[in-house]
Amino acid sequence: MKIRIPLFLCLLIVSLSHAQSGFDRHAMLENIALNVVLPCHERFVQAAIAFEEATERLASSANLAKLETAQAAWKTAGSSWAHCELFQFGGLEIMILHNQINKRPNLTQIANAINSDTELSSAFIESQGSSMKGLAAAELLLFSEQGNDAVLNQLQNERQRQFLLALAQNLSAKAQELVAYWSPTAQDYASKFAAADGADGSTKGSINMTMNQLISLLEQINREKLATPLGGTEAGGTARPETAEAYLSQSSSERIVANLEGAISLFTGANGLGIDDYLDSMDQGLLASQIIDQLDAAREALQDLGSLEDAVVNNPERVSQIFNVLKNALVLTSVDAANQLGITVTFNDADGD
Amino acid sequence: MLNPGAVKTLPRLNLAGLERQGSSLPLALFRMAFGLLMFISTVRFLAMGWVNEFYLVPQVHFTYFGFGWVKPLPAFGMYLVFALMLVSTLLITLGLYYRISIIGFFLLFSYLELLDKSFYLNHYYFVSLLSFLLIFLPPHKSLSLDACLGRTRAANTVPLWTHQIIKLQLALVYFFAGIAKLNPDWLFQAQPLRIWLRANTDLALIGGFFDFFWVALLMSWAGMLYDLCIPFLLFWRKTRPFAYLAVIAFHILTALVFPIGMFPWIMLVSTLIFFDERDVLRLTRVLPFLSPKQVRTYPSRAAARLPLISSILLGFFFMFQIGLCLRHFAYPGNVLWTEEGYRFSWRVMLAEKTGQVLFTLKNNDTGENWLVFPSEYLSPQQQKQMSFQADMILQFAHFLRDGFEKSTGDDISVFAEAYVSLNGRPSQLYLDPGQDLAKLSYDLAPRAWILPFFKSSY
Repeated sequence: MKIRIPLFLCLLIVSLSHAQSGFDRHAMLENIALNVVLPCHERFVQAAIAFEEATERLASSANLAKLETAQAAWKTAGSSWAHCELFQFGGLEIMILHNQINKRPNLTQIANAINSDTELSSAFIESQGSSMKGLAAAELLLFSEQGNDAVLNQLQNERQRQFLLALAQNLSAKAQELVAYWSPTAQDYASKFAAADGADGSTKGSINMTMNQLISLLEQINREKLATPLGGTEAGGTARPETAEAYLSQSSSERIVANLEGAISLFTGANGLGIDDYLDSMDQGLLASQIIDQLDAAREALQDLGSLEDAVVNNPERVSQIFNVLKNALVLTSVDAANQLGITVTFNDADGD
Repeated sequence: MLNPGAVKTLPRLNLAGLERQGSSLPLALFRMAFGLLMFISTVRFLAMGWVNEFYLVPQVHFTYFGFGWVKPLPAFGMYLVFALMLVSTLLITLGLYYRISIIGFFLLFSYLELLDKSFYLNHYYFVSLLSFLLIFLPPHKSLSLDACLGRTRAANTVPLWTHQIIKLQLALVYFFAGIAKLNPDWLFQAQPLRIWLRANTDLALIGGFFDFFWVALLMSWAGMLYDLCIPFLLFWRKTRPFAYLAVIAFHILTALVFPIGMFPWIMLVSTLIFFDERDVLRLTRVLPFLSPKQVRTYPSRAAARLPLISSILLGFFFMFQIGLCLRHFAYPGNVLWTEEGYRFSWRVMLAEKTGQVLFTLKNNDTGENWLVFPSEYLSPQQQKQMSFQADMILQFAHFLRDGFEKSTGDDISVFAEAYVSLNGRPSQLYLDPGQDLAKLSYDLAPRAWILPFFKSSY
């Protein structure tokens, strides 16, 4: 006791005369918000607008060239989105917005809407649930297992084209809402994120969110995007390519590549301060580089893989190898890095000890 | 020493000093503070939506060994438990129907704690112990509606042992928490404090220091010495005021830095019991309405002796607790790693542990293998806790085995690939990945399939 009071006084006095030492977490979060998250969303807006324009041309009259342009624009928008997918920071409104951009669609509801008399517009799409919105719903109208002739045949129906256009317009509006949410000139969540006015009012709040999103994405990729199409999560183990994220467009591997690019940019802070620098400041540079290496290795392997939908059937060993690389990345992130950073790998704030 | 004269009627323990009387105020104030704090704690639990999240949503619950029969009730029942708990905490605070309220609170609270070990917290265990003790004590003899309404005989004094036993309970918590800190990680690596302090460098005024190793080391040692010494410093009258200041400083600091919920407040309030007779006299000078108008003693001097049966029961109560604290000696390996004997032994804030586990199931009749991600079945909190605790991994493996054996009618094997990191060390394989968990029984025997702990570091 006799030691404690002078000790606390001593701590207090020196701290008052001492600026915060060590790593500047605020600067790291600001860099992530302004130089990683915001530009990613801005690129997504550009891609969504390009997709909307391509869809407008297709909506006036459908032909193969216009369809292929729209399909390419859709794939670019899909990859741009996949890059930003893990930046789901903020409250419930952001979770809803993310769902509205890319959620598994309900084919029956979409068919019913097309076959009804309702005016098909962006406002109509806005009034509908997430399963009738976004990229995944547009994929159903732009791609078919039977090929582009079948798609063009479907698109002869004007209401099908109108629905597609309405989807593209709504997607572009949602993308702009996201940019407005982050932009310092609009809602400026970037500042809140940097000040970590997110989970618990300290910088730990945003770092917690960042790491949890990273961990959650890696688990999602392994569980839903790789193991499930491989047939690895069910007894019997037969490949189920139709469960891949973008089966109709055969672009699932591009999506995962973009997911991993987003993860790497978040972890490294692009050209500025990132989680890797934070770990480095704790003498954990080796761990940081191991994580980057694993993410990079998985990304490169997926780029070389070609179609994931084909590979799960014809080259499952290669997909399993990628799964294992990502499993290592997941352990290094959710076990080693989480331990070093003292973050809570959980999505609630239940008390500890 | 037994009182031979009393044996034929009602056996009583007549240890020197136990029949001494003291003011009933400290105990009454303690009761009120405890009731109020438990009321706030219960309201907080409800407001956080944890009834739904902890008890209603999960499809699996990790029950304690021997308590597999404790099951959550349907939604209405669970909310009724909380409603009754709220009522009991208010009645305890007011001192109305005290005995039945405290028994009710103890049963309801302990029921909730037994439902799922994913939500085990040391201070919940402490609350259960304290409420059990309070069943046997008379804190409603003053400042209570029971006394005002004549439901119990009001008294200004109660036997001193009723204070001492709470002090003993608190001393036991602190002392064993201090003993548990006598480990190399805590004393020489300043872990896990180093990790936790580094994550809080933005804390006003003192946060800037949390980056330094020597600060973590100093605080680790201060924490260890605090835990080991504070019961004695609180017992000793001369050091008591300073000791209580240290209690305030220590627990406020931990409340600021760590997400430990109600724990600091429970300890702050509980340690008030150390203020004795003379301190109470001072209090009654400041707050004259608390001072007694006439002296009434509870119970009579003879009856103040502890009944033999109660003393035996309480003796067992404390022996049992000490036994739980020491049971880790019966297991090989580092208790921080194996967690065999970890819970219920006041190992507070000793480990920063993270884990990741993936299950592979095998149908032995068809030869099919498949993966199970725990997130398909568990809440994030359950998943987090299970990922580094072998007994929970085994329980979950049995849940998977039972479910798939029932749906397929085949023989199922379950293997776990688990990686765990402890106090800043690199992750390492935690369990033998070749061990079929489905074939093991869930018991208290040492778990040879937990792989040895390598004390490496980055």
